Amino acid sequence: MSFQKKIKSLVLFAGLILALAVTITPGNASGEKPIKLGLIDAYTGAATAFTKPALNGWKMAVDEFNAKGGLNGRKIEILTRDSKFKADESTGHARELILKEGVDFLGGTTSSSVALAVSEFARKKKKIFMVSISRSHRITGEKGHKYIFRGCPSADIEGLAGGYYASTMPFKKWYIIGEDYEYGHSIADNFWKGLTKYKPGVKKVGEAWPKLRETDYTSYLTAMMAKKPEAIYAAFGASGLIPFFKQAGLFGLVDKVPVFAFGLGDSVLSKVLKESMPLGAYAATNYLYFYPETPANKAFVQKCKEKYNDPYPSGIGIFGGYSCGKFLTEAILKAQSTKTEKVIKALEGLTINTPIGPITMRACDHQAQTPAFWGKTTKVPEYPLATMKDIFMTPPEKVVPSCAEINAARKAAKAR
Amino acid sequence: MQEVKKSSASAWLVWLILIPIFLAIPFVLEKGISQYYLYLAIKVMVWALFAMSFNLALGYGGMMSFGHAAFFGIGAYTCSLLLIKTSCPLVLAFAAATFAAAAAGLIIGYLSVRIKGIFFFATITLSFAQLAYILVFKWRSFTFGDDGIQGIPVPEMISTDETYIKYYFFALVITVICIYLLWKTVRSPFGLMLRSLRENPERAVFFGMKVENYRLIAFVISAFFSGVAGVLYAFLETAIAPDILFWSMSGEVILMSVLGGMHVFLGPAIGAAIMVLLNTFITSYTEYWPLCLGITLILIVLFFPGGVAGLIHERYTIWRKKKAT
Repeated sequence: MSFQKKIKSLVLFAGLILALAVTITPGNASGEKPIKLGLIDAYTGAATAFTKPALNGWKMAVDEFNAKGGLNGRKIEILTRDSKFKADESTGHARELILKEGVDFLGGTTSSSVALAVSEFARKKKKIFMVSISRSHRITGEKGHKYIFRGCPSADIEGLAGGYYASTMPFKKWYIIGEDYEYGHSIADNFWKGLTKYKPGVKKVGEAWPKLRETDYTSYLTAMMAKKPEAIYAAFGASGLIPFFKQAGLFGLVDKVPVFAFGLGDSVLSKVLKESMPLGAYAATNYLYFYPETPANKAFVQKCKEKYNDPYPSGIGIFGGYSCGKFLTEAILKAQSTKTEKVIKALEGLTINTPIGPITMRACDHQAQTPAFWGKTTKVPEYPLATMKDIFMTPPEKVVPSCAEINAARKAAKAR
Repeated sequence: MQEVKKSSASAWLVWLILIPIFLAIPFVLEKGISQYYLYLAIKVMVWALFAMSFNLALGYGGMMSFGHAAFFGIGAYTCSLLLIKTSCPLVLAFAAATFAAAAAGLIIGYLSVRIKGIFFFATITLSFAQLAYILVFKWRSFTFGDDGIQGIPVPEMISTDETYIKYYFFALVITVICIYLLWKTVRSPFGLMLRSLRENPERAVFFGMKVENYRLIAFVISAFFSGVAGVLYAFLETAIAPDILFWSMSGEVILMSVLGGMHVFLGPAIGAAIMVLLNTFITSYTEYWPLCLGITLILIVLFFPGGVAGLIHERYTIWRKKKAT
């Protein structure tokens, strides 16, 4: 045998062994049957800035549950699958988790198309699916059903909260700039809905929709200033806020005119933007590590720091995951069962205690009624990252679409 | 004469073994192991059809298209939108979708087949495909934008809600018919002309062949069958998103062809099976799937440049020759 042939057969042989090993490795088969939770999310690629912390949040809640003995000794085991941010990849994983691994619950997802695709499959298979990052209003709105729950805010809650907060300000002439994709439009539409509801008489002097992942905002910035708005609302996803505010910083936008942006208040943004983090902008998020200064929140931050080396936990990531995990584990305990129907009953209307206070899972749409924290970005000596001052918590009951609205949207979607 | 008889007898034998296997697969997988594996088998089938129809352009026509995701996606989207927005019957939606894919193939093909050089051809087909992607992504009121379409109403007859067996046979019949038609195409005089054109276009021109016409027809046929694969995919997943039109999908199908062997008829199907299964199993086991996948691909390309099917074919010919002597 020549050398090349030898190598060839070696490669073939190694490949065969590997393929065999991968396909026949048996699952875990020891002791008490664990409760299986399958998490599908983009665990590789750019979204890991949110998905990895969210996974830690889930783990934290699950660890708390397991440490207390689980459900009569049954502990939760987490299985993770990488969605690669693709819908078809995720439904493949959802099938594998439910049909092959036999998971009891599904959770995760960042991309809304992934969430909707998995949700559709969960509905068919009658399994609970808890969304921890995806924001599209359709998930619990018109496309909502019995088996889907969301423990993090939705785009309409975030948008309406912004509108409510902006209505407390004197600005009348607004300009809206947003990323041209589902989330951007959704949050901007709801911002405007909230603002006009609580402050009739405001005027939109213009709007612009740069494409998703735009790299040059110069022309948009000058066009915006030419309209002489009194305030600007920036409707960007967390990843889009980064290049926008980097360039807005060079332009001095925030010094010229008040800018409002949801998501900018999240610690992920101040971590990434560092020196380019605009100070004096109106920013918001669903969780702040420095507010409220309650023992519960301080304990949570301490835990994040010790366990996950994350001293400035973010709302999009770890807090969202933690809330979802908390909802699920509390519901399992309340129901004293892992049966889907019983856990759904327990989840509907369930209130959990979180580091920022109680949050309720609304029964009519399975959407967590989350508050938002708005404020002005600033720098204080206690923290190396930018924080916020004059913090204003938007009350959930003022900024969520009513159950009647949700039902109407679902009916309209069915009739279509 | 005896040789021909012998080979046709062995062909019958192959079919005699293959048919029961294909009939037994769904029952063994779904009842015996797990429904999930039957889903995987169907997924492999859909990708195999997509890869083989793509290979008509690459392997036989010598056209390095970087835009086949567009035809796959147009097929899937046309069918899904028709079923969701109108009360159009399944057969009509299916036909409309495949013709839409073929029409897109005609337009894109007409504008690109004249272009000489692999690089330029790849670039222009890529641009057209990205155009289709952006259209689907941005036209939110019509295509639901990046949220995608969920809950595609699949008729009870082939629904995958309870069992995948019905859908397996539906997909199998369509895939086999399509593969048979593709086989007939590459074996026909047209297919032979196409290959001569791939090997030596100048000479083909001297023979009086209209190069562009042949390439265009091959491109449209390829787009048509990619559209069929797209429809099968949409029914299988019952949820689609714009990323099925993204360029990375075109890249995947190229990889499948190269991996399986683009100069062997069934090569791309083998490539599809390898890619789908590798991808599925590796991602379930480790977060570092891109590394494992990359290493495997490098090894295959380095040691088996003719693809896996190319290697099998080569071995088979050597064995036959040895036997003959």
